[in-house]
Amino acid sequence: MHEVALAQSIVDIVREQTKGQRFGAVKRVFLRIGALASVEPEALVFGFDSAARGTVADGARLEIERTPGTAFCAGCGRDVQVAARVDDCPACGSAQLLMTGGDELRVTELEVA
Amino acid sequence: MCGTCGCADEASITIDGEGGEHVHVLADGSTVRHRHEAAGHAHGEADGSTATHQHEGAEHVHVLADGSTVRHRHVHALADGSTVQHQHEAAEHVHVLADGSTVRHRHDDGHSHAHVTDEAHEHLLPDGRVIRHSHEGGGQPHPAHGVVTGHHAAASHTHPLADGSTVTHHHGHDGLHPTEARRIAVEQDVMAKNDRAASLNRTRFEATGTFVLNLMSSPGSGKTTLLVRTLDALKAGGKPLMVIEGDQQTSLDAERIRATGVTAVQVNTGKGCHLDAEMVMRALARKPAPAQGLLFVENVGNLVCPAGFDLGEAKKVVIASVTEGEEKPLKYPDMFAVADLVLLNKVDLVAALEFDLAALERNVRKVNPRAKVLHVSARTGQGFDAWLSWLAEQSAARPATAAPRSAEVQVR
Repeated sequence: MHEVALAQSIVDIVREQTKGQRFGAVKRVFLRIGALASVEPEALVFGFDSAARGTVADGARLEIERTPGTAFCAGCGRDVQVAARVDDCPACGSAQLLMTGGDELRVTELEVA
Repeated sequence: MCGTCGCADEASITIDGEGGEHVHVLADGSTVRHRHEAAGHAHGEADGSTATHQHEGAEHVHVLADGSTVRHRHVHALADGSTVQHQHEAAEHVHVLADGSTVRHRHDDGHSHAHVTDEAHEHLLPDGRVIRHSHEGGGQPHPAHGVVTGHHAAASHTHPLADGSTVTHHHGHDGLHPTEARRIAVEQDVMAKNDRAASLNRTRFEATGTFVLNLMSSPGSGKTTLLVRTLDALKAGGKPLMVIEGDQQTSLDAERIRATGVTAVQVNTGKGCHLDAEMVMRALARKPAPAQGLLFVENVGNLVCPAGFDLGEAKKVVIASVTEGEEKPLKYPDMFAVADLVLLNKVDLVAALEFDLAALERNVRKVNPRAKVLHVSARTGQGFDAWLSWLAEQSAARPATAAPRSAEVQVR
C-alpha cells in the first residue's frame, strides 16, 4: 500500500487531535497495524518522518503495535490466526480461509510533553 | 517517498479540464469548491504569494511543497469586530492588524488560532511599537509555539522570529506548557479521510443511478485495450458511458478512450501510484457521472497501492493476463483479496505460453474464495459474452433510482 499517503493521513490526524491542546511537542504516536493491513512499517516510519517535518509531529516517534490476522476456516470451521493472506489454515491445512480481522490501521494514542 | 513505489507528491496531481477550479474535502466531510484566479498560484507552492483566489467555504487546506498541509481561513474576526487577514509561507505567516501594521510569526503545528477567548495579548513589533489584541478563540488555550522548554516564570515572554526580530507577548495565566509527558487517546482510522470521500462519491452514484467499476491491474495487462473493446460493445446498448483514466503521466489512454466516442477524464497522479476517492471527486466536478449509466474508473497500473483505496465504486475488477504467470494472486494477495471479479486477459495466448488456467484459479481462490474468474481476450473478443453478461447483471442489481437530484448531489 501507499505508505507516504498513509503517513500524511497520520500527521493530519495528529494535527487535528492536538488542536487547542497545551503542550510543547508530540513525542510519540501510537499506531495499531494489523498483520494483513499491507503496510510496511519501515516505509511508514520513513514516510512519517518526512511528512511530519515542520508540523507539530516533527521529531515524534512512531510506536507500532502489530495485531494478528484472523480468519475463519471453511475447512474445519475454526477461527484461526494467520500471518498473511496466503496462509493455509494452521489447524487443518485448508486454503479456504475467510479473513475476519487484522487489516486495521489506526492511530490509538499520542504522547505529548 | 513511498518505500513501495516512490509516490507522495499530492501537489503534482492534475486533472484535465480542471483549470483553476477544484474541490477540497474538509474534515467534516463537506466539500469546498474554489478557484485560483492568478496563473502561477497553485496548491503545492509554498511561495506564500499573494495571488488572488477566492474560497466559498471559510476553512480550507493548502498542500505545501514538502507534502505537509496547512489548514486555515483567510479572515479572522477579532473580538472588537475588526478582522485580521493573513497569508502563509509554510508555517510562517503574516498578520495584518487593523492599523495596517504587520506581524510575522510561525506556529509550530502549521497554524492554529486558538487563543484564550478573552485573553488580550501584545505583540512587540520590530520598530518598538506594541500592539495589543485578542482573538475570538472559543475558549481554547494558546497553542504551542515551537520550542517550549518549561513554565515561564514571567507571564510575558519573547519569541525569536525568522528575520531576527522578536515578538513578545503575554499569556496572563498559569499552568501553560506542561513539561511532563501525557497521553491523548485518539482511536482514529488512518483511512478515514479517504473513506469519507469514497462514501460521498457512493452517495452521489446512488443518487444518479450510476454503476461504477474500479478497474485495477499491473501495467501492461491490457486494461485499456479491454476497456476500449468493452465500450465499443456497450455503445449499442444506449446507456450513457464515461471513463476516468488514472495514469502518472500523459493522456494517451484517455485519448484511446475518446476515440471510441466515450467521454474520458484523465487524472494524472504525478508521482502518485494510485487513485484516491478525492481525485475521483475532483474528476467528477469536471464531468458529471452519467445518470443511469456506467462509469469505468481505470486505476493507475499497479497491483499494490490501489488495493487499499475505496473510490466509492460498486465493484472492483482486477485484470490479470496470462503473460504475467499463474502466481500473481499469491505475489499480490492484497489486490486479489479485494476483487469482486478477476478478468484473466490474453487467454488467446494460453497454448503458446503453456499457461496453467487451473493453477491461476486455485491461487485466486486461496486469497479470495468469493471472487469470480472470467477468461477473456481483449484482442479476439473471446469470453466477452460472459464479461458483458456479468456487467449487465451487476449494473441491473443496483438499486434503481429516479433521475438525478440537482443541487444537493453536486460537488460544491
